[in-house]
Amino acid sequence: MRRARRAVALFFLVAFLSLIWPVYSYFAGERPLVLGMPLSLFYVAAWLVASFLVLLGLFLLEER
Amino acid sequence: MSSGGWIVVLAVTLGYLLASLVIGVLSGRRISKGTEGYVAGDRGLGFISLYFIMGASIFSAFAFLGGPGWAYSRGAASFYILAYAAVGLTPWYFLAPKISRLGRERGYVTQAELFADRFQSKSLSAILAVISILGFLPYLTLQIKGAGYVFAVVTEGRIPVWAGALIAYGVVLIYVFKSGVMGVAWTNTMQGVFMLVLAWSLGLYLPAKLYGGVGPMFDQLADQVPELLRAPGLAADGSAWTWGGYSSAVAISTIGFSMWPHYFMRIFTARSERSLKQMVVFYPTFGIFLIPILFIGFCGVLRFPGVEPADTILPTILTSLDLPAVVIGLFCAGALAASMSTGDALLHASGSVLVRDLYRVLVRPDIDDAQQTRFIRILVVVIGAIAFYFAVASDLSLVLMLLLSYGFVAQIMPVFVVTFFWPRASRAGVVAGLVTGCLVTAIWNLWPELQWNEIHPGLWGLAAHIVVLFAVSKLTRPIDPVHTGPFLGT
Repeated sequence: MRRARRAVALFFLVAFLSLIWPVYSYFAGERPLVLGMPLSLFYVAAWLVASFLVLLGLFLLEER
Repeated sequence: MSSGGWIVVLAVTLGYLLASLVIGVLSGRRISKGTEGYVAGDRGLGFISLYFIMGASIFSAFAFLGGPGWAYSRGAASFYILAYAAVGLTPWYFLAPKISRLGRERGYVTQAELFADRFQSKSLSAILAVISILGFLPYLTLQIKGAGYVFAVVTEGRIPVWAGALIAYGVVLIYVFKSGVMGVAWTNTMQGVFMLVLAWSLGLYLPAKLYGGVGPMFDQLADQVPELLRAPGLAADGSAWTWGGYSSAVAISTIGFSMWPHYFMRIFTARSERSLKQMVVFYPTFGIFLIPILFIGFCGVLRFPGVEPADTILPTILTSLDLPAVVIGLFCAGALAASMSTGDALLHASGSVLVRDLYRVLVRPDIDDAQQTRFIRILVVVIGAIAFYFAVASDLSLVLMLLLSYGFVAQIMPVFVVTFFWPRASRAGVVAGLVTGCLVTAIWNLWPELQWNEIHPGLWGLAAHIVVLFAVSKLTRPIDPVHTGPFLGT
């Protein structure tokens, strides 16, 4: 369980760093459109959804 | 809108206000009379209330009017709101259960009580109280202003800004005065549901109506104004924003977000550690709900160019589409809900912090619980009046105060970290670090020529804060390990 918590904490550090320069600058373009959204928006939205799912996963694991 | 339509709009808006008032006043009936009830809701809030009370705070007047405004005028720059919603609250998942447990055992209802106890320092409590109030006042003022504008716009100027602000915040004052945090929690739940429904219906309806869908809208935008959609978007003056500005805005918001004292206090209202964790898990969903709000702003770019100020883009689109008056009324109620659900929490927290962390600590340690609650209620009214004055009668620059406050609040993060992870941190180290951090932030704000790559002043403050906290702690005596044990142990 401790390892799972550490892994999730690490995931969030990676998420934070991915949402700023320099990583984000590789996904900053207006195209391609993904699910109707520009890449720059889809990329941030995808991290948002991933953050939710990862934390939900940890929560369910801890609940078991 | 047809002539006379404003009466329907006003009726819908007033209906919403009445519903808020009734829910807000009734919700306080079952809590105990002391501060534990008024400030921390008898530590009995479940997942749903916690979720909405925290979510409503991100749906402030800023998100509802400012969000579309940013998307409209600054494009991809507005994505920073989503970025910090994704990661900002995560520290709580790991530490909030412990903080809640400590609060229950040691009787905390505010943030400063936790830190002041850990470091055995009255001055720390007082400094945190001052930072809180400096942070709260400009935000509260902005929310009150927002509410006033809503009324002025819908009644086509028949109700002036000051009167609109007075009506909306009169309602807020009554339910906060009467019911404390329970009034905030239950009205926020209602306001939250209402805003979500509205955000999604408008956010999907408007692109469909104006462009034939979200995809076609972004397709046209990518052809005609690609620089708007390319991160990091545009600066306030319309030139390209820098990566330094964007990244440091994300960083300072992420660091500061979970430290805002009025959010932090919610940890002490939780019924269980489980409900707290659930709330943090589901929090990013509120960020997902913000996406359609940004669509609204993007809608205006090609169809309604040149709208000034940009924050009025949503009302401008709505009033020019010939929509039924009821729909516009619902929008106004939604905008009021956004303003009020943030303003009520700020008002409640201001009174609580001033009494618990400043007055009780420095002036009257012997004040009893019932007197504290009475005093908090009085201060809620006084602070409401001060913010109302700033909102309608003063020309004070809110922008500078808002910039300062975000930088200041972020300075609480190092204190938070060493509270739980660094036994060596000393009282003098923490106080010196905090004061230095705030001073450096203020200096960098006041003298913009010190700026480098548009890095947020709060980050320079944090750098100085951490160095001073470390150095002074190493040079002074640490806190007794017997006392720090419960904070550091897992």
